Amino acid sequence: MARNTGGAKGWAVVSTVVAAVSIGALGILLFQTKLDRYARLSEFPVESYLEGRGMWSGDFFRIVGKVENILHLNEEDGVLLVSVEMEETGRILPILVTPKENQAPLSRNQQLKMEVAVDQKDRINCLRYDKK
Amino acid sequence: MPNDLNAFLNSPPTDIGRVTAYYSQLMATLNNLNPTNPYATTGPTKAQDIGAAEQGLRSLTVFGEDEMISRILLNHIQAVRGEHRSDKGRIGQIDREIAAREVEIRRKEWNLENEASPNLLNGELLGGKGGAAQTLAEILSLKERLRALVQERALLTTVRNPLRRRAQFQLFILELTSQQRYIHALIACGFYRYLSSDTTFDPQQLEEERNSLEAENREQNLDYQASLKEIQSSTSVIPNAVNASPLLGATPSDTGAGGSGPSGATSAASAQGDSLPRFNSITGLETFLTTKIMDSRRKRQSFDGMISGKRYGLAQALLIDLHSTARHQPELHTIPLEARHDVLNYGNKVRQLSEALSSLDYESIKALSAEAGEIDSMIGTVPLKAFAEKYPVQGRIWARQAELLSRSGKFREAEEMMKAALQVAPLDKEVQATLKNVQDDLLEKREALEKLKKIVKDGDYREAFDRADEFLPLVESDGDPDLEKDFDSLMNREKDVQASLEKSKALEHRGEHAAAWLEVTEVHETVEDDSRFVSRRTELSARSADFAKGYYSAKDFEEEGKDVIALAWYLNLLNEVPGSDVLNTRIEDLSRRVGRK
Repeated sequence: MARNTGGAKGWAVVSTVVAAVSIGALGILLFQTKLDRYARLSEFPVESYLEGRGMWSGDFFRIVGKVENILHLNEEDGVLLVSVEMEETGRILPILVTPKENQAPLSRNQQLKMEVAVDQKDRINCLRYDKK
Repeated sequence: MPNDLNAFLNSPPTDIGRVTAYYSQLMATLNNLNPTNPYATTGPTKAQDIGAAEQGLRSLTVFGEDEMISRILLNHIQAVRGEHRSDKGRIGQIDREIAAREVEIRRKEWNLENEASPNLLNGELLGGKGGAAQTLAEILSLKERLRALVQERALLTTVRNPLRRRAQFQLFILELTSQQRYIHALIACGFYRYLSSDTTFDPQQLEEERNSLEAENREQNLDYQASLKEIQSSTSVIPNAVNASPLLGATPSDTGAGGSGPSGATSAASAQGDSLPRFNSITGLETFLTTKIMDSRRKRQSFDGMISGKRYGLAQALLIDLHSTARHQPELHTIPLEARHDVLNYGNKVRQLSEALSSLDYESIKALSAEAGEIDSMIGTVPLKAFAEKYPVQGRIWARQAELLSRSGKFREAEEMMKAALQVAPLDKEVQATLKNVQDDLLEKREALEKLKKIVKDGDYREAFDRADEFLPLVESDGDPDLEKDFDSLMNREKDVQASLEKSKALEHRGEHAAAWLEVTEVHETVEDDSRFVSRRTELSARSADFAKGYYSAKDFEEEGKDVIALAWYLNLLNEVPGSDVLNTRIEDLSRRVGRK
């Protein structure tokens, strides 16, 4: 009988440890997800965009990729037009980036995560970005 | 040489024999009447024989060459001789002759009507070609004879005054003189002197008689014209044949026959009377006639001398003089046929030489001057030969220069030189052959220039380039700056096309299909439809389909004003064709536009 009780205890301890580890892991995952704000954004529908299909203005998308080139700098407001090669598809998109004080300046070949929105003139505006 | 003199020189041999017989008879008649005449062969001892002279005059009437002169003279003699005596017998004879002529005229008119009718089987005239015209000419001749008879009758029946008859005789003598019928005039003077003791001319009476005859002549001439028109209208089916008749369209006074009649004689006298001196008497007139005859004889002797010495130029001059001063003299009409032909031959050579000189036919000038020199030793042929040698050489030099100028593209100068060559040697074969080449060349060049202008207008850069070797000298020689500029533009366009095609092939060879496709796609709008580009694009489109699709998408979005999407496309396309100037240019432009917004 005691052998059975001891076995049951062991099983309970193991189950508890597994549960605790699982809960911990889940918690860590949830925490990390909460920390990566871009993760909740949809991937930018690049093919639809290139085909000129209407995109919802006001929707926010995620772009992960590398700054390929700085195409233009508007000296009046400091807005940059950069070309970004998307990590997933390899497609290149022109993106307007408005510099912010608390953000590091962009440079070529920089790996970035971006939150973007498409305005009514089909321009892809970068709302925020972070180093990947 | 006058035409009638030409006709005289071309007389057939049979005519000359008959003419010689006629003039022999004429001189025999004169000899019987005036033994001291210039043609006298019997010496001054021979007595005048009026009867024989009158008989001789009658025998002259049968000669066609006499042209009724002797008959009219006989008539005047009869009229003056008869004075108040009745001319009944003579008038009766004339009436019979008139009746016979009228019958003959009616018969011929009936024939003419038939001959002029169309043959229903073959559409031609029944009289055949020229048949009706011949009959018509005979009718007109008969009518002329009839008219002379009517006038003769009128002289006998209407003028009864002996003074007027003598005046008419005097007028007739003057007219014979005026017509240069010196022997007839001299015979008439002899008869007049025999018939009338008064041998002076009364100018007033002669003038009145002349006016009277002229009035009568005008009236009869109107009748003649009416008769002529009647015949013409009745034979209107053969207008050409009628017009071909030498007798038509001429009044009696215009023809030789007209000159022989009293009325024709008078009109001619009034026309030519001015050239004659004023005569006071028959004696003065006889002196004038004798002088004229002697002049004619002297000229004839000189002419014979010239012919025997083969000096045909001078002989011809004498002949022309004889023909104008002694038109009806035996000295002119008895010139042997051979001599006539020699003069005619010489005249023809000189005429041909003159024509050759006018037309600058140097070969003919040389040949004819040599021939003329052989015929007449008096002709200096050396200057002619030198002239004919010098100018063809000059013409050939200029023609050759024209050819050289043409070849070097100086077409205007070549044309000027060509004109100069033609001016000095228009008929030279060598000049003509050279100039034909130049002309062909110029024509070819002109056609090529027209073609070039059309090519430039059409913008056909490919043909302009293909024919560059041909067109470049034309462009340079034409001197039109616009043409030169446009032609250069076409040449450069073709060079660009060829360069693009070459580059495209090289890119394809390196496996850069998209770049190869882009090289033949992004071209100037003036050449984008070039068949070589179209063909090349088709060849490459299979291996660069995605690129082509993206490129056209970019162009479409750009056209629609969607600059950002177009820019996105160009950025992606550049990834496939790195360093493409075309794409970079588009990206720069669009980036500037997008970044400014």
